[in-house]
Amino acid sequence: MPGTVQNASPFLEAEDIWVEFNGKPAVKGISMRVDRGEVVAIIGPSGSGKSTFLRCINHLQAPTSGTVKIDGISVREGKGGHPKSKELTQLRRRVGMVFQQFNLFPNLTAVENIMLAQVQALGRTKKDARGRALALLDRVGLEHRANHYPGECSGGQQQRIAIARALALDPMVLLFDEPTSALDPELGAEVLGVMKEMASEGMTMIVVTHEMSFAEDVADRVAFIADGAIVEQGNPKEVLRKPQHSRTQRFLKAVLER
Amino acid sequence: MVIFDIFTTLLQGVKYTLLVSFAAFFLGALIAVPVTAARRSRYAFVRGIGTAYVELLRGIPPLPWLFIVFFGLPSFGVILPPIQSGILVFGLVGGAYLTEIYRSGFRAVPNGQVEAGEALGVSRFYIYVKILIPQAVRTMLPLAIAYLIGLLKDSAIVSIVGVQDISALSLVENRSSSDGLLVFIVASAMYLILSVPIGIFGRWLGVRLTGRRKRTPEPATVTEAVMIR
Repeated sequence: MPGTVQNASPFLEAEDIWVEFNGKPAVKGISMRVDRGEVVAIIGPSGSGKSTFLRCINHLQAPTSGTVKIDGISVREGKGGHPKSKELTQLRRRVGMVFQQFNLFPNLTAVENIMLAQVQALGRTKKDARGRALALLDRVGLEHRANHYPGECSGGQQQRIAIARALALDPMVLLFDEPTSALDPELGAEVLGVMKEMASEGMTMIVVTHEMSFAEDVADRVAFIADGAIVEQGNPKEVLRKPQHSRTQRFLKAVLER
Repeated sequence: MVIFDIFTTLLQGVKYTLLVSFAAFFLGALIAVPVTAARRSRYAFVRGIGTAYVELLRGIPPLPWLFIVFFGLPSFGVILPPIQSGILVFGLVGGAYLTEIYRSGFRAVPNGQVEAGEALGVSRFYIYVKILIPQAVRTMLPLAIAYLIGLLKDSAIVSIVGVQDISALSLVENRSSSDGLLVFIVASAMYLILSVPIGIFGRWLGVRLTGRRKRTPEPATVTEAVMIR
């Protein structure tokens, strides 16, 4: 249940999401409401279902049951049937995603990576898309890497290119799936810097992360997920400094003692 | 000189060896497209059809297929000349092998690539055209070239139904020649001369494609390709 009082109609609403893999539940009825401009950090142990839940928001993972509604758009699910592709496309255009492994297209240069969906999904002209891509690369401090292939860039640079790519469709919300877990602390800091900037500019963000300082300093709310369910959530300082549940206490103790 | 005479005679067969193997390769490359699509379908029934095609064509040697087409089809009123029969059989069989090569190419692309495309709202068609195929080709091309070399050699089978290729002409020449060993050595050398450059081209292509794009799985080498067959 949401820990804060919400408006009647939230900007993003995930309701009673269940995901089963081969009959085993990985996500057990998670509900979450996110307001426009809110930054939510999701923390929790590996295998707790937090990434799976995140992937349900843009339907990279089809929930076994439950609904996701973003800005009034939802994708109808049949139990075995496939989601309606028109609704799916509409939903995905509103949601950008940044992956743990960056998932840049290695056959395209940085600028081409950022142009691709602008041209193929939004129908922008190549000229417009290129201009937009270069502006975004400039924003993440990588204009000089525009014509380089991902394989020629450092991990931190690749992830910043991936963020620029996600921003190119002007998403209403950005999902981050452990964006710094594949990076060393120094390169991770580059990426977190960009994310912090976006948060301060009012971007709505849901961030699955193990970076506790980011959760505490940048997020408006922290949700702790374990065993496929939200154990507790609320103000970052309260959840991280004074956790109420023993499961949260155990997890945070392990993180701090590392 | 005897060896020169043998060489010029067998040279007449080179064009048929090349015609059958290359035409069959391109026919197979086309056939493999819908069969690969079937094997990657989300519907089990369609996948089953693709699997059945591959297993049926691979599980029976080309020679019986050639007999069925050349000697069997005429009883249904379908009469194909030797060359066309050879191209058809090796095209159909090649379609099965090339399906597996296409598939291994797609499987070598990390799933995150498709997910990134989907998350960006790129349609299935453009995910294939712009993301999957350009990456899969790096794995597929060296394997396909290795298959082409195999095809060039296996095409000797079509001599049995009367295609005047290198092997057929070597049999004819053997009857009139006093030195049978020399005839077959020259014929063997001609296959070697044809296949080695293709292999070199394949390796060159493999190196070129591996070039600057890192961070994706290395394409399979020609040696691995031979193992697939």
